[in-house]
Amino acid sequence: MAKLFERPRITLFILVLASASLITLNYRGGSRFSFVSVKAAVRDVITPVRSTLDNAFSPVGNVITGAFNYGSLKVENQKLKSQIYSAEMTKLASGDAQRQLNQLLRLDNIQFAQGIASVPAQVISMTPSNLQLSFEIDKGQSAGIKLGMVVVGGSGLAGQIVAVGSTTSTVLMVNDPNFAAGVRFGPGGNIALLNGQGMNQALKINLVDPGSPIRVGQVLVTSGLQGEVFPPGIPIARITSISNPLGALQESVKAAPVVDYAGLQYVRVLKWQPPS
Amino acid sequence: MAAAVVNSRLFFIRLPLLLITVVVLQHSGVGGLSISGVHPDIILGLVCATGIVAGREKGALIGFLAGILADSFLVTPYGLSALIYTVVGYLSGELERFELADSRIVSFLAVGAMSGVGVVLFYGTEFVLGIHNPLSHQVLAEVSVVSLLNVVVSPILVFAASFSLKPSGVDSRFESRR
Repeated sequence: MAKLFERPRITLFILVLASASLITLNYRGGSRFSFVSVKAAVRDVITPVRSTLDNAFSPVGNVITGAFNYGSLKVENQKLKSQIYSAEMTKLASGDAQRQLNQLLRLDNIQFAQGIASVPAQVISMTPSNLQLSFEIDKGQSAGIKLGMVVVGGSGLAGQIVAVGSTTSTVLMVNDPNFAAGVRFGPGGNIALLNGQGMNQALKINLVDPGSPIRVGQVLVTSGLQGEVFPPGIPIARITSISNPLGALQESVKAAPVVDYAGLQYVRVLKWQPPS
Repeated sequence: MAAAVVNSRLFFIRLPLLLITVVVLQHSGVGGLSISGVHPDIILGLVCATGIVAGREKGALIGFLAGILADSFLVTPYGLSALIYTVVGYLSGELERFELADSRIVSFLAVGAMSGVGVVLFYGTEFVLGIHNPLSHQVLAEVSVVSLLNVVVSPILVFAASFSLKPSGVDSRFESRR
């Protein structure tokens, strides 16, 4: 019969206890036991290694591509292929440049959050984990970015800063399950609560009374009520479906973010912090 | 004697290097890939491989360290990944009881299976902590994709774990298990 207090079990117990203590400190420790600085320090150490690795991998890809083309006997055919390839690349590059220019122009002409100072930033990577929906931008503490600041794309709210390093920051997307925001809709400015539901899931709009003036396609904007973490009037989501289950006390409303994360390249970080 | 000291020092260099490399890979090229919106989780795969190669105690220990590193990049509570990876590393090491890991192919499959268990544990713990509702088809997709991808990369992960954790760097897998 295996011993109850054998060494691996004691190790497991200690490690589980340590993890549980860390989780408890997250919830109960308040600002004294905030792990934000610990996370930022680890990220600052890892980020340069990561950039180096990214740079190191791209030539390998180029070498492999080059190796496949080397030694071909059909020189003429190769030359033609090369011409077609470069023409296609030029077309793609000009298309991409146009897309980037459009995004930058839209960011320069946003009609919401007027009068709030902001910092332009570039999206450098999208969420690398299944546990959270986030993206990373190329601006951090050195550019004056702080936790809780609001990030907008050309069409509306893109997310909120949840981690800040010295040169990079992490932005929590609107559809992450941890994301919630107060929203307004309709001519009367009815109030509701928007919640992210995770990957490939529609946003859920709660607290919509039956018979409210809401319709599919309508754009929801941030409410900016007292205690709200976002400034008022920023478009955040578009209604995609409405149903009224029998006997329900609220409408079942689904929405999609107004920002297209798949094509997001540039954003603005609003230097606005929620009132304490 | 001198060789043992050198090997011991190499262990303390190889292990952190392996952990940092895997975390960096997860957060650069590999993590950026996605199938049906699901990203590979090679950190989880490495923890499983460590448990299978080196036993439950080392599996739990490496799981904890990997989890602490992984948590630094996430907004989820600090210690959540550490908790799950610790348990998964320990459970992977428990497979020795069934003597399944004697075969390399079975140990590769076990990496995939334990990765699936890890994903389920993540969802369960997040549900308990009120972070996430696990009742969606996304869970099935995530379990399947993560398990499958980790089976594919398991030969590399098992080799890396074996190389980093064994004093001689050779495959003497079942000697140092606890």
